[in-house]
Amino acid sequence: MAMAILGIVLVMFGDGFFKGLRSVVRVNSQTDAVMDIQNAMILMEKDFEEMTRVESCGPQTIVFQLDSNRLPNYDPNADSELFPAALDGVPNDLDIDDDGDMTGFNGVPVPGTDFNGNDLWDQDDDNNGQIDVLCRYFVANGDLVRDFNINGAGWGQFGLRQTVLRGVMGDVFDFVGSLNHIPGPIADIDGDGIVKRAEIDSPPIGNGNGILDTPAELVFVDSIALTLSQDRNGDGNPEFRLNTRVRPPLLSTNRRVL
Amino acid sequence: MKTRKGARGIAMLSVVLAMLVIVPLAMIVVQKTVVMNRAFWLNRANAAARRTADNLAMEFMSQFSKGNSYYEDHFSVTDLQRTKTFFESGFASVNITTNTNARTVQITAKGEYGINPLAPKSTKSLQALFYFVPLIGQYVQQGVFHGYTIANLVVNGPVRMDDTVLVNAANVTFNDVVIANNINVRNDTVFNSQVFYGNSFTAGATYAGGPPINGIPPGGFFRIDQAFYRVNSTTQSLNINTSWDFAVNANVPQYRSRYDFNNDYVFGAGEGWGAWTNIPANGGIFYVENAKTYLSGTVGARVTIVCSAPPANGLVTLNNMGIIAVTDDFGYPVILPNPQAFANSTQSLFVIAAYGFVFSLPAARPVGSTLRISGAYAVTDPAYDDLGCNGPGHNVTISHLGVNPPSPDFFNFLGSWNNMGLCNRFVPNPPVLNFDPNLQRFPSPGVPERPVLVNWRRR
Repeated sequence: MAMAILGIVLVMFGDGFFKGLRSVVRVNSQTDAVMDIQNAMILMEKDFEEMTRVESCGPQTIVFQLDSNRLPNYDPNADSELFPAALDGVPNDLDIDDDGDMTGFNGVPVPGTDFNGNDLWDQDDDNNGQIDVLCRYFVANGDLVRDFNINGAGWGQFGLRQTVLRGVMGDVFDFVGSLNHIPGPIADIDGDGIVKRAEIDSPPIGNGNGILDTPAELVFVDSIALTLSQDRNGDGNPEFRLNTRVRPPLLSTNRRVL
Repeated sequence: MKTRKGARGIAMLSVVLAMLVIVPLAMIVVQKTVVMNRAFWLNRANAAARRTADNLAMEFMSQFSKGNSYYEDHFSVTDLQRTKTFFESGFASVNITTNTNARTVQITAKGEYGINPLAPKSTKSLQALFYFVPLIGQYVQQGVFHGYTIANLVVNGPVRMDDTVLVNAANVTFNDVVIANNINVRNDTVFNSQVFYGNSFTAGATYAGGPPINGIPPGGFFRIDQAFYRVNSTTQSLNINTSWDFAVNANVPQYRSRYDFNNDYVFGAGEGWGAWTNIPANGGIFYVENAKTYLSGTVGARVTIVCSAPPANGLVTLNNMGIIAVTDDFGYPVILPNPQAFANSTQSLFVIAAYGFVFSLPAARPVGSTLRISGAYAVTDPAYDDLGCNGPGHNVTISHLGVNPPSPDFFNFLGSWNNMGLCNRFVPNPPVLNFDPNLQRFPSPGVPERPVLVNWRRR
């Protein structure tokens, strides 16, 4: 009798023990997920807040330009004037146009390129015909990867590729336009006051290919909605999910409509 | 209930063993939670500090953009100064570096999170560079309506028409930005840069710079701020027709003045030139109010010339207040072989008239001469109308004094042509308008301007 009671107690105790252990492991896993997502957000916020122009974007990828001051060898105290072959005596830090090639309407670059103009327009401050700093975030094999293309050398060079979050579930990026900026209002096709990604991608503005990749589409992107879900143990359920929105301040400032 | 000693021992042992496993795990979780909590707070502190720095930069942008800010002194130490103050959830302070010549203000904003300014929990810095763009000098041609009637014309420089860009000549090419409410062109017109439209565009034209974007950026309409120029001008003349002659004498940019005291539009006896005077090293503002202005010579400094008048009641004639007459070539010193120089850090020319302009070749020059004009020119309240061209809207005349029009001379313009409808009397030669992009970069003092953010760097 006593043994039976003891057995029942032990079974109950064992059940509680394993449940407790599972809870501890789950909480531990959730805590790790929170930390992982937070660390990823720190990197993403840093890059996104200095984003000058979006090159292309979809639910699981975004490619964007960063200003030349993110180049690894950028020197704020140097005078990088190369063209028209004369230093202007103004250090890069205080120079509105580091390489002295600003032309056109408010420094608007040559059509279809970003290779001249004031410093925020100009993404080729060393005049080598390449965008100085391209950054991308993309999901590959369940990992969210951060990558750079410096001066057209190609992605993944200089050891700059890193996985910022493992076990990512679902789509990460969504994109929203603004009614407050030209040409925002015309994209609000359903008139609900929100310029959604699908509306931007739809004709007559977009080409309906599922990503925002044409100049006419990209000019609408104003803020980026982020969903970071991590499934650390591969059970199909995310340990933690973060929904947030980032509004890169330079996107609207740097828009080609002023 | 009776319990055997051995069984109780086993239960105790089980509990102890379980505790040995659970407690360390629980402690790990607690410790992680504490670390995570700290990380969250640090992250929050960093984010708050960063936002505080951002907000300060935005506050400056807001300050630069409000009110009648086109004409405010954006470099006023008093207006730019900030004391270290509590700002949302932390403290904000700023270091400012101004460059009036380059028209830039750099701010280094520091955001600190916390309630104790001596011991902030997080500090973040942001460096932003603001550049003040002159409202005129942005376009080769800016106005309400323009019709392009010359076949194979290539337009270099941005164009903005608040109503219509009309092209009815073959094979016209625009190499820079075009902005207009209506883009009404032939199908063989080529746009090599971005086109912005408000109402309509011709779908059959070639848009190599990308599909036209529906949306017209706000214009930079302004009126001459008389109070600003009365206070800030280098030299001024109120209610008296005035003539200024410019020259570079012994490498020193100078000017001299004469006044039409009886306002009969003739400089007669007792109305001769005064002495040559140096133009200030940081540029000069020359201001005439409610009178006519005459200009001549070569400008070797950064100079703004303004001729104001109250809003006109109907059209006015040639001799009137608010009109600027330019006699002969007018621009910068010519460095051969350049026929016309561009603006640069030491010389730029902005000329603003309330009602209109008259550009003339003097009678002494032979027929077939070229009249060369450089700089940015603008009319704010077009009221002059040259009746020699049929129809209204011709607030600018080019003519050859002493020669009955039409005269087969040439007109070469390098700069920016704003709100100016031209009555061309140099028939059959069409005027040549070229763009000087340097005008944006090297504006002269006293030109209405607006802020543009050109650099943003976290430190």
